[in-house]
Amino acid sequence: MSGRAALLMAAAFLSEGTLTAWLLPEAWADRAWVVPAPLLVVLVYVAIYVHRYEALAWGFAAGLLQDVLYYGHAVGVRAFGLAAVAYAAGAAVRWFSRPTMVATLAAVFIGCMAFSLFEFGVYRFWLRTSDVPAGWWAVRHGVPSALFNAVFALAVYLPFRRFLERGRTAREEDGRG
Amino acid sequence: MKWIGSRRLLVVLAALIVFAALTGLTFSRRFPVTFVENAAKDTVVALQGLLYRALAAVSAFAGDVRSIWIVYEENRELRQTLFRYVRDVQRLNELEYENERLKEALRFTEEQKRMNRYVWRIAQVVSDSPDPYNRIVVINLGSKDGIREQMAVVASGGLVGLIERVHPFHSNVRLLTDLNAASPDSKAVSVWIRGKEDSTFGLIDDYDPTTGLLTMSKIDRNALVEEGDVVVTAGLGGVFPGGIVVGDVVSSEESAIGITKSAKVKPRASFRRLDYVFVVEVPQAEGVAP
Repeated sequence: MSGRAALLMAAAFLSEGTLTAWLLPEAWADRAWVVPAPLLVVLVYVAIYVHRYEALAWGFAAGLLQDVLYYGHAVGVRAFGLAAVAYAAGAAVRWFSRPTMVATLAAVFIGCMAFSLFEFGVYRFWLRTSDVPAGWWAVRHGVPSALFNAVFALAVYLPFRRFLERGRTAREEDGRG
Repeated sequence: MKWIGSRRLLVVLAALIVFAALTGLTFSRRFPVTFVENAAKDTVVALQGLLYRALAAVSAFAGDVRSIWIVYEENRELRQTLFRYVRDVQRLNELEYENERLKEALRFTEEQKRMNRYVWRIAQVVSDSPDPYNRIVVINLGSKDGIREQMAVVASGGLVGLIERVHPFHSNVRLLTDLNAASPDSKAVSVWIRGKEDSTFGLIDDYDPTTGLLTMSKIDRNALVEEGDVVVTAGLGGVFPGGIVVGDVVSSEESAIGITKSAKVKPRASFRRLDYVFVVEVPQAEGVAP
């Protein structure tokens, strides 16, 4: 278990629900439903630059804690969503290419879309607590959110990657290749 | 790597089954609050609260700096408002006195007199759910402060939501933007239009994120509902307070079957960047179930 990943995860977890509430400009609220997801971005980074199994575990733990903290409708949505998307991002980057910047950003963008889609699908079709139409979701929520998070991922690419990889060179490589 | 028939597929299927079970079991069941949940909540939310409050302070300060150049105008307007306020307070005092005398004359019981004395508890918001389909904010009042489920939460402007889950030191507030008429999990708010209380009773039971409007439904078909009418909570039943502004009517229409009317209401409260809110306590009379 990587201590550096733990540090990043803790910072990201604390900022979701606090920083994210204050960060977005008010003017955006009418035009798009942007939801910053630093937790998901950090999870994708951990999945790519540390190990996807570790991201799976962290994603599940952080998601479960968030679900319990904000227990409104049901527990388990964010837990499984974050875990699955983090693992898939790590596995996909390893499967399709090497961990480059483009691959990482694409993984963050697609991962955010997938997570958004998963949340939307669960709340719309499984739990039926929301009836936002799918077209509206895609244009107003899915794509703008994913873009915002991808830009955030670009901004933190170098520092996060160096931070995580420096921790990794000190440990043995396992399970890669 | 063979995908079909491999162990990974089994893991994915097992995960899906566990997911369906977990969400299905926890959906819209009011599990009593457990010790583990309380412990997790109070530790994590304490940390989140520090960050959220710090940001709220920064945002407030930035707002102050931005508006320094219009302070003079505001000052002038505030003076006028103050005069109107002083006049209104005097009128209020007169009305309160008259109210007391009339209640005495009608021989109200002590219980009846206490019914509409609401206690407004101020609370700070410490964290905001990152999930856009689960609109919950956490405030720093809990069961130790006497908060109970279903209490109304009001911000500057109007009704913001209801207390949904109570822990010893914090509570979850379900915002009005989470209401959905089709959801089995959603609780409607009974309201009427100020000035037309006798004829315009209805339920706020739905919020549409695409338009940003609440829906007031089940209004009597013959009721006169006009644009600009002010919708306030009805407060019947002694559990939920009455007279709290919810919003203003934007449009009205007949329902699909034609038996009732519904209206679109623009909420007065803002649901973003919540800072301070009030929790309204309705004093419980004996014999009324909480």
